[in-house]
Amino acid sequence: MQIPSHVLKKLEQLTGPGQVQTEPLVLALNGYDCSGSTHRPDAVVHITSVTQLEPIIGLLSREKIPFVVRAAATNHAGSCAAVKGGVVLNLNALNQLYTIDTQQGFADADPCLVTGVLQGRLKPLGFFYAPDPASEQVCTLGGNLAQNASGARCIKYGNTSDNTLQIEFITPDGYTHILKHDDPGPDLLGLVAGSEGTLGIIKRMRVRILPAPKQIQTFLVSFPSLEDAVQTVTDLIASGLTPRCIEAMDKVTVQAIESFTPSGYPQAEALLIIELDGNAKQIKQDTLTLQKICTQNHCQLFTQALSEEERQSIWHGRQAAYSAMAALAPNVAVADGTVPRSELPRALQQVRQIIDKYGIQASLLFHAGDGNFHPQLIFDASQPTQTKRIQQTLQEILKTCVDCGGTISGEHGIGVQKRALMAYQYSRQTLRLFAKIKKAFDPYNLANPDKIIPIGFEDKAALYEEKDPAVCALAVQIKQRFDKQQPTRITAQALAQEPYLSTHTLDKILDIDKTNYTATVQAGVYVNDLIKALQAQQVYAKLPEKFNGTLGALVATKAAVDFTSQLTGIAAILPNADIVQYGGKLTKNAAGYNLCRLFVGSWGALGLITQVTFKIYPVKQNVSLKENTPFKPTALFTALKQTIDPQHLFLSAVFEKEGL
Amino acid sequence: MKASSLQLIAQEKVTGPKGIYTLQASVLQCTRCNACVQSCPAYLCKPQELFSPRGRVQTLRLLTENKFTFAQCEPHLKELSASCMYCAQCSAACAGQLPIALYMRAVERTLNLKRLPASLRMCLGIYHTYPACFDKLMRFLLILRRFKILTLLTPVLPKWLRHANKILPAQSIPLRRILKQNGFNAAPEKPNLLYLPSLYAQYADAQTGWQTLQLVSAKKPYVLFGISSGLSEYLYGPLSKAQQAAKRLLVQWEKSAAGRALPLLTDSIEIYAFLKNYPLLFAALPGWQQRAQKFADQVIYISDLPVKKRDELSGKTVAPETSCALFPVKNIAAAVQKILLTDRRSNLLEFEYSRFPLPTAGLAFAKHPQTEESVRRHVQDLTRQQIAEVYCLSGWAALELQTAARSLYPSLKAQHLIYGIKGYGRSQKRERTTLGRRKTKSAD
Repeated sequence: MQIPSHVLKKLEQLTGPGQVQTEPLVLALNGYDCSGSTHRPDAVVHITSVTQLEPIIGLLSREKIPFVVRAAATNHAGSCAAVKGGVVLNLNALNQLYTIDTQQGFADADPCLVTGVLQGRLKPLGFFYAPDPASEQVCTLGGNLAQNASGARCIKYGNTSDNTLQIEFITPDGYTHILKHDDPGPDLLGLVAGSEGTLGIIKRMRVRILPAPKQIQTFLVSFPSLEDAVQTVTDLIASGLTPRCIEAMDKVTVQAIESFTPSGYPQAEALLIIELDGNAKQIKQDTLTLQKICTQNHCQLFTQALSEEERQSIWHGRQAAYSAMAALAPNVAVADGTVPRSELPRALQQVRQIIDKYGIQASLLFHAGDGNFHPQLIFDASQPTQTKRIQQTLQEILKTCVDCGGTISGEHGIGVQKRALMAYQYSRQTLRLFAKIKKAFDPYNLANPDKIIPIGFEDKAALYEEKDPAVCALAVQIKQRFDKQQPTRITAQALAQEPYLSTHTLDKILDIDKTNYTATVQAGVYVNDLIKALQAQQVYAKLPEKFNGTLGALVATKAAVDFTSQLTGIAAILPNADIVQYGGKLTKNAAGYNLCRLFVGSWGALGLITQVTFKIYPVKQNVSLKENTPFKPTALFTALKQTIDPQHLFLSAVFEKEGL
Repeated sequence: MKASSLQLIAQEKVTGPKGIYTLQASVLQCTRCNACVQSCPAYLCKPQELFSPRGRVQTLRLLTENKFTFAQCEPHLKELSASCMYCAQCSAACAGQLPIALYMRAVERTLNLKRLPASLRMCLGIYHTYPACFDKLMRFLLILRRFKILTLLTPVLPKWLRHANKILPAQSIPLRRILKQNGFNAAPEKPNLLYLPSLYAQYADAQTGWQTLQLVSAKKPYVLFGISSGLSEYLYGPLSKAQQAAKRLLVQWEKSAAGRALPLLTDSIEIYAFLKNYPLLFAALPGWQQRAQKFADQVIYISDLPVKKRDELSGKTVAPETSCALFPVKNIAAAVQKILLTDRRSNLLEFEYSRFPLPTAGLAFAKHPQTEESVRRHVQDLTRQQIAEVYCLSGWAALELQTAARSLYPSLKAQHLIYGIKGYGRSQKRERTTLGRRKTKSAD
């Protein structure tokens, strides 16, 4: 599309001379990222101050010109390629660190502050920022949040979304909203995380910083097979031990690293790098457990880093893994599938088979602690047949992940590269909801258009068919009411009259998985009963004992502080009777919008929650209860309500208070 | 003309760790991971994709794949080439270690761009061809400078000379003269070490050269005056001239060594890195490459000097705990930092090179304005961290930093590394006696 000259002129007035470029070469250079996607924009605007953002977005919105935000462009998914042309907003100059508050534990920064720079500033103060993507020396805080890229430490410290306390967010209409996790209503900060700039622009961030652990102990353990290594990880988590991170690599990776930069890795079929942190006593105790589990799984060499130098040496090899593979061939393709930890052995076996089938040289490298694996496939991009074969291999690998109950992206995002596979992972109904969320934030499809949601998904994605009779019965009732345009109000009471719809039939605890440490429970189960059932299995969750309602009510009213971050999966029936499902027993999921964060705190206004999957622990957790009362809905919540339930069929105390 | 330029660029040979490739084949190896971006000083000053190392590689890729015409790219190519500081930090950060600085050099050479002003090129040409004339010219310039005639001539001087006059120590005297005054034999019969002083150590701040020679005086060093390493020819002139200079140095080394493996010491990190990579310079000449490899193995930097110090506890003289010889070139900065911290046992000392990659031969003033911005930002960074003492691996870098700090952070003291490691194995008292009044004069 051609950007009108008056718009270009206005953009230059807003940013300064020379900051708007339309030279073909500059456009081409701003149309790619780390993936193979290349889409040229029609103009590039270099933003030099955050104050320029609002008027520029407002202008583009009025002129209906699509825009794509660009930071370090290190993503592997084509997330910042300008598929529909328009304007690329280069935010790289917005890289200031404003505040580090060690008392309250936060840092305020611009979105394009490089993650490694923040880490460097925190280190002398004895603090650290938990997310640690492998590219942290070049990637940015905003980019990490937009992709929800978290790195190896998220197994213990949560992902980037959990470590972001507050953001200033500009929606595509040019207005700034301040989003926090504990805002009343849906967790919109959590929803924006991983949205790849399709819902708006992150203007400023407040991230959580943590005191650096007193002691860190790193172990290098070798195994006779990858299966043994993976089994060790599964056993380790099942034992209740939460390492700081667990990284795994196969023989190909080890050999490549050793020939590229000798790091003292032993020649073995598989290696694990395990790191523990905490106080000395705890680490000593955990080390014994770790050693025992490793021995049980036939470990060959159990090495403990005795000095900081040795520790750095171990990590040096791991960090050089990508470079080591890059040294073997002109190009490297990286996948990013994630599966539940218990499924890792099966998934890895199948992935190996796929790689062998296509005769591709590849290494397996993964954040074993969270089931996120990165096969690195080497090839020569100048050979079209090789490139095609790589694409086929990657597709099959990702489909295998989905078949194993996983996701096509743990942290790299979807962009355009994996967009088509979204129709394989998600049902038509769920994709429809994603499209509605996008529409609520961005009715004219201007912010990073045509990403995440597959084009023509109505024909490509399968319809979800619910098997649980209780859920089916509820869906039928909601459908009848939808057809008759009758209102619905959700309750847990068994003998409810219209317009009430009771969830008392959703009373099953579906699964308590002590391998992945997750529980899947229907929404009608009372929290007190659930706590007892969990305790009977000697596991615990961040559930408040004093809460008298059901699990669905707890989630919908956001009554338990911190429970939001515990959700890994959710299922719900929408006002139009579509049944949607998201997540599962996964620690990481960067595919699509985070529906857990949409329904949490939604007060039944967006749909009926039928099932929730959340994290459980082997030790008791501290929980605090927050009595929430209906509140004035924000503009964004209202927009979501109007898009998902335009007829206002789902009655909610929040919107009734507003007279809606 | 344009089409031939394009072909010339595409077929330009670049030598990297993976071997010799045509530029066209080499740029294809970029995986666009962007690991290089934060290492580029030009990008940090102007954070736009065009100025990032990745952008540079992709520009050439688009050009060589005929996705753009030469006419479309030419103005950008000139800009890109001029803004590259040849620091090669991007190659160090690159997963595939692509020689991105060499791409920029190839562009510059193909487009026949003159990065350096004509007068400076002429000076360097004289040094390369007629070293004795160059020596006389420099002496003449230093005399003009001492009597402040250069300052009076400022309006008519070329920019680089104005800048040099501004940043050099008040009283610069040539190294040869210092040696003569101190009765130092620069050409002993049976030397155990060769010393290749940089232009900086010979003329700009000869105390650097003198301090270096003091450290190694026991080894009877042979000083290679008037011999070019070929670095400036490599960067700013035709490749053949660089090879010519390198051959000359190789022959000289072999002659002086007389069959022995004689170490060659240099005081400039840029020259050190260049000499270490001599074999790559002769990639197409296997015979010379073999000779160059033997030579490169013997090249040492100041921090490799086998200097010893007295251990306070045992009273014995011991060797330093670590040496740069153990580290690859790209890790030398970290290695020197380690030496400074462990041997001086002080955290106050700060060594900066990796984040302050000034261009080769210290010709910052002849480069793109972004260089200046880079130095300014670096001083700001030092100010923020309240670092009072900085050691640089090349003298020009220290001078540039010190000059930039004059207005922004006057208490900053930037010096060449030699001032950080001096004193091992010989007392400060003896140094003062030897240098006498001259040192006091040049200290300001």
